[in-house]
Amino acid sequence: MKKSHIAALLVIGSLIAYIIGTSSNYSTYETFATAQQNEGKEFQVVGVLSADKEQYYNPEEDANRFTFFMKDETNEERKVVYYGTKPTDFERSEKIVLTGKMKGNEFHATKILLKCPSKYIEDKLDEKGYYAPETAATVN
Amino acid sequence: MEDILEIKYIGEWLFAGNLGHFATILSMVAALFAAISFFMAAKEEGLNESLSRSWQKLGRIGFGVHAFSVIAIVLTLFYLILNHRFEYKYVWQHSSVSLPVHYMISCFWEGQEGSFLLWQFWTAALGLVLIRTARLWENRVMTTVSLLQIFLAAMLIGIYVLGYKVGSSPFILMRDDSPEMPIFMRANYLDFLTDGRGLNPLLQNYWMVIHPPTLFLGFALTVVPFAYVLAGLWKRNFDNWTQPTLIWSLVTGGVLGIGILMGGAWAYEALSFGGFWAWDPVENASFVPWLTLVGGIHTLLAYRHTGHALKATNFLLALTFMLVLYSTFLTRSGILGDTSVHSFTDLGMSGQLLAFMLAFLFLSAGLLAYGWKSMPAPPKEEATDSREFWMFVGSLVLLLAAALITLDTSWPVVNKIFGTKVTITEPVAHYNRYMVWFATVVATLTAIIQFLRYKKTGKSGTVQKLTIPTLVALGLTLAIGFALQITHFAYGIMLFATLYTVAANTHYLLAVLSGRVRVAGGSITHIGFGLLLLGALISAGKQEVISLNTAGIDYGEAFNDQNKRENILLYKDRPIQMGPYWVTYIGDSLVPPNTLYKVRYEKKVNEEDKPTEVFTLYPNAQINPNMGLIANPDTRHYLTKDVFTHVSSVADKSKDNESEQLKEIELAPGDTAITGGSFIILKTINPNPASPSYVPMRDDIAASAQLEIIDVNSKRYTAEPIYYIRNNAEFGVDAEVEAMNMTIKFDKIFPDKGKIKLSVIERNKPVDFIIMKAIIFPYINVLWLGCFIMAIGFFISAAQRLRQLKPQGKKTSSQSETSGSVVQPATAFRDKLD
Repeated sequence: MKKSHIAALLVIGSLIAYIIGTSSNYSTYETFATAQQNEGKEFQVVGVLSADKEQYYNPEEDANRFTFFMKDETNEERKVVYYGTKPTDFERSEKIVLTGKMKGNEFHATKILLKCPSKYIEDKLDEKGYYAPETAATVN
Repeated sequence: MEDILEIKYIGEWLFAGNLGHFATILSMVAALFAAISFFMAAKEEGLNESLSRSWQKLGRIGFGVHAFSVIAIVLTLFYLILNHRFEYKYVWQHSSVSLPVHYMISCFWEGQEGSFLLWQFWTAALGLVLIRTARLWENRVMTTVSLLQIFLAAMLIGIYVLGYKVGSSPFILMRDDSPEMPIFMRANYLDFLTDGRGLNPLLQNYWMVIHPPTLFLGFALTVVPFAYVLAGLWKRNFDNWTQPTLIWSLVTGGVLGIGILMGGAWAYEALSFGGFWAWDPVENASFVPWLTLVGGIHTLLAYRHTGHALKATNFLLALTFMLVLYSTFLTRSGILGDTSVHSFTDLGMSGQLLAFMLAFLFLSAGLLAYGWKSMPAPPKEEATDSREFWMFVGSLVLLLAAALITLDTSWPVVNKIFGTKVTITEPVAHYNRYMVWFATVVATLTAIIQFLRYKKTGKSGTVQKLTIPTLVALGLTLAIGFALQITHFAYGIMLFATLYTVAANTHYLLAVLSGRVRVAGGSITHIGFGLLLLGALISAGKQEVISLNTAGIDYGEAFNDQNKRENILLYKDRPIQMGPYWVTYIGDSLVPPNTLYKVRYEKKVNEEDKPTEVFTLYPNAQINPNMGLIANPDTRHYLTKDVFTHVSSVADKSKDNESEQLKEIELAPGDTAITGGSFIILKTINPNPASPSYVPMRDDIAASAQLEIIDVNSKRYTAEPIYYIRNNAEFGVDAEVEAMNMTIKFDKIFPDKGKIKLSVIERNKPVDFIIMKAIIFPYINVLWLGCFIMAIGFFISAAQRLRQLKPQGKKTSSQSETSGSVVQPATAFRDKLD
């Protein structure tokens, strides 16, 4: 079994080499402040939408640019520029996960993942006591 | 609470639910009974045969009752869904009155309870097959299978044990689930509960009718090789063990492979992320067990022919099942929340899932330790030029790939345990970066290993036999590489490796096996595998987004162009050039619940040309109250490519009223400003303006701005607003751009800055547009063809082993050609042909 031990060691060796070699691919969930300190490095920031601040999306001007404000987990608020279309039902998101980097005071995001409450805890009946898709559609 | 208890509700169907609930409990009790009986039967084997047989009989009866009650659960639930009994929470949650009957079956796998039920159903069916076929392995194998059924049944019973909720019943009533809702104060509440929440629209797709059952059959099948491993370890006896284990492993490999790739087909057809594979945690979780299973199949073959690698086999096959449990834990416990686009409902059963997983982990680890020393291994180690050694190495590589994917998928778990916050920002790029190399190594090994012999290859001309396939693969690599302009180094290497696999295995099939398909399951599987990788490489590596937006703001260098400006706005009836096509959005039509957007593609070089080809795609979108815009792509399929189109956003028609937008801009000559729908370029400032509306007078200070306006379709317009000061008062003559519904006022001159100030008023006519994305996937059919061939190969192999298993049956070709060699038939057969 000696040879297979060598093979196994090689495998473990390449595993370690891989982890060292690709550690730069990994990132961490961070705050705007950390992203700012490492401007230009890619991070994921989790936060909530600042509902009172302006959101700007004019597809006729630029279909791939959407700006809004988000508060991160430390309640720090930044302007976010997202390079894509404005997600439908954006206002109803309860949590936003952004991927991108800081540029000046703005966070430039290339990816948005929305967590909508309706998707997850949709078990409550509406106030009328029953669920009817037509009534829910007018919420927006 | 007392009030509610006194209410006599009207119109509920309680009998069916009680029956269903009874069946869930019965299924668990019967599984427990079967497990104990089979355990006792196995224990008495060889000691007291008649007692063993009695226990076995009891075990069979127990499992029969179990299977019967599982079927009863399925039928009851389906009956309730079919009859729209919305007093049941599961029915309300996952179906609606308008749901077509053929999608009602999909309700079973939208909810967590239903998917456990499906798993349980398949395992019960497999158990019945095993009772009929496993013979001397029956008692031990069925002990494990029954044990699994206890845990699966526990997921459905939904009762409280010592204050802890065990399982979640699909038969719970709405009023029991949320008794605080005022509606349940009414005896006739069912008159109001008229419709269910409906099935997730993404699941309303034909792939979703067949993908989950197939995948779950694959998951369920992994318990069979696992049960054989435990059975062998239990009695420390592996005689007559290899063949049934191999057959079941091959069937599992085929079914699980198909199930996974059907998921890819569904994602490609129904989801708008653009592609068949996104390295999503859910996909990874189903892919990883397949990798270790394939590794286990190869070490098992090595063991069968040489006696080596039994330990590795047992480890890999046990690991496969453990990974299925782990993937269930990952996807069902809600722990992946932040990382996956899949939505997971956490039913608060993480603890139970964890217990489920750990029970089997301890059981299998314990038995592996117990049986480790007893596993036979030849004293001499494998020769470096033997087939088994390289199969072992290949399996290790697969295991390594599985380990890395598992690690990268498990970061949310690691974060939870250690409080870290590690994440992968670009998963697709990240996984592809290393999986390209794994694919290359595995494909290269797949090409070469068949030409090695078991035990020792020696100077049997392997190099000569590999000459033709190597040259063919090299030639094809160069041809395809140049034709498709594959410039990426790693992709080029992988291209060669995949073509090498296809060429070498085709050569083996034709030259060595003389094209006898019945015995060529391995080669056929490998050819399919090579084509699959080839299709994946080309379609994903050379996919081309043709909807690249050229209008819009310059983002600067901080972002690379890729993936950032891939959506394009199409106004109704205004063609835009995309790659080789001119694309026009023609209009929409409502086919409830979807809106279809009609998009015409015309293949031509210039707009005025006559198109050489015209087709229309209907990407559709559903504005779903729960999930927002759900885009369903439409794809034009060709033999050599697919044109994939989906809508990413649409005009909000509820704001159809004409609105005005004012924008003030400051420009110096030569500057460009961007307004809502145009670019405005200040050509020059004309100090001597003239116009019918402006007659120059003495002492006027006047200027006009010669503007060029470019709209989103690159149409150019000119405008010349005038500004003048007369008698110390400011005046202006506004310019109108009628085609764009735009007014431009010349407000001010700033001589010190050399700039002027303009006000631009844009009146939005009700506009109709869509924002869409279009991608060309070249040669994606090679991928699907590869899947198909690979699955067929697995089943040919399994069928071949099954024929060998039947001792008194007709002699198979391989057996009849056995020469008096000491090695087993199949090896002798190959050796002779080599």
